[in-house]
Amino acid sequence: MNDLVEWRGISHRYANGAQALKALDLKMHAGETLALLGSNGAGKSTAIKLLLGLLGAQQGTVRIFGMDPSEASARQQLGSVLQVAGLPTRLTVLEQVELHAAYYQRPRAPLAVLEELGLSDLVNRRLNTLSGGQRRRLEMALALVGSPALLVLDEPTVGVDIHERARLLNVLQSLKASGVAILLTTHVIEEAEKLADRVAYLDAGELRFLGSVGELKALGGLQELSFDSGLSAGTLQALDPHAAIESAGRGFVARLTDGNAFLRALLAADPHAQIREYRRASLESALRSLH
Amino acid sequence: MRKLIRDPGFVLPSFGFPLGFFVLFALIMPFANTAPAQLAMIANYGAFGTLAAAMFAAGMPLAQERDTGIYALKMTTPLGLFSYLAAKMSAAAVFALTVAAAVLLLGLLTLPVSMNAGAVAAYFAATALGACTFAGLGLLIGARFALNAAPVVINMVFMPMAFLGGLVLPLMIMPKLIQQASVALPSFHMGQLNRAAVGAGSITTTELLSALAVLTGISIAALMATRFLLLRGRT
Repeated sequence: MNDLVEWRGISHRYANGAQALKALDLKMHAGETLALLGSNGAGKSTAIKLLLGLLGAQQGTVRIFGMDPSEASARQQLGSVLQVAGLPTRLTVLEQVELHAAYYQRPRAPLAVLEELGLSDLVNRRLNTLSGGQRRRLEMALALVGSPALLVLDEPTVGVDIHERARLLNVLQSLKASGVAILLTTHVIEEAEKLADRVAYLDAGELRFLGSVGELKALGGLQELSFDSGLSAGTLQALDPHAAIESAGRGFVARLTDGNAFLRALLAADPHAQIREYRRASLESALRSLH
Repeated sequence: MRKLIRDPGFVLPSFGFPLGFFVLFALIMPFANTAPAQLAMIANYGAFGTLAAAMFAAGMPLAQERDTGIYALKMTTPLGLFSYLAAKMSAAAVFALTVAAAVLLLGLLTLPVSMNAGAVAAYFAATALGACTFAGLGLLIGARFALNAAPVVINMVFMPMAFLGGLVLPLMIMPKLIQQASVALPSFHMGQLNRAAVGAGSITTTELLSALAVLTGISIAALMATRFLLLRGRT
């Protein structure tokens, strides 16, 4: 399998002493969608900045398309949407995309890109007249105009409403289907579940998990049961030593590999137990189990 | 360029100050009564306008783009740092040339002086060189200071430089010490080149070579220092 991106032995410490990454080893394959997850300060943005050449590697190496990120050839095939990119307010939508397209050797037609993102009616509007969602779509247009083989998205749906988020996700799913590799950081777990082939979970600069979404859910337990019971936490744990059981308000939440067996044992031990919810484990609950 | 010319908060003072000073000192309070002195006014205020416009037109966009994150976004593209700085310097220089052209036009229309095509070409050549120098200094300030500090620093640099370089008031009325120290300033050399170009004064070969060396050297040094600062920001 072709490795599109590789972080090898990457450690990074900021001038204030904060250790952002510790010996990160991670690869990304051509055509895959990799979600980079983790809490604030986990090292996601640092990993992205190193990949994009915005930070220089202190220890280890970063390669993109087999090249150093500082090489212009590497950036020819790259498109990115950063968390904060204050675009010029005095240029029109079309001018922004045309300017960005000029940086690439084989750009797509700006109008075609804008059409794909539903911005055709706004081509002559200046940035300061656009809504937050429209601006985000414009930023996506800038990322796509260079015909990228790799799209790097640092929290691409932050600050947009639910409709715009759905719209952007549809665009990303189309890109994924067309073979564009996508590296995505997000706090919206649903995005990772819908798009990612693999998930890399960072915690305090270290890679804690790397695998498919299904593998991560299995790690956290396949079923999730919310219930109220008069039994103690210790007694409940004894019903299934492999379950992850935690208090939740006045009740409990259990992440289980065999929900049916636990249910039978629970109702046998406590016939008055109240079941509030029984569902397949979410990615979010699986991530919580990694802490 | 489009960003610059669509910003009235930037365009108005860039043209307003040099043209305003010219109107005040050359027309309303005509300190210059001879042709050479009047040509010197055009040269000096053209240089003054170039100095200010180039520094602001280069430094402010860079500081703003660093602050808003668009600089980082551009650095993820194949554009590259050298091309980025060259584009910023070129746009600032072109803008500064339009300011210098406005001063020249106003001077030729209102004063009883004339310039041949060679003098006009020499004026613009000198202005272009000076514009690159001050655009370089503007970039350095834009790379070093945050958005809210950059305009303050640029003002603190360009105004004294313009006055001490003899672009606003003649050097001959200033203390000897300032006259002697002014040769260290790029504004002095630009003024000298401009005045020689329009026929307002003579310039020796040594003075010409010194002016070219100082302006070119500062341009290169400022660009290299800017590059160093921006790359250091990658750590």
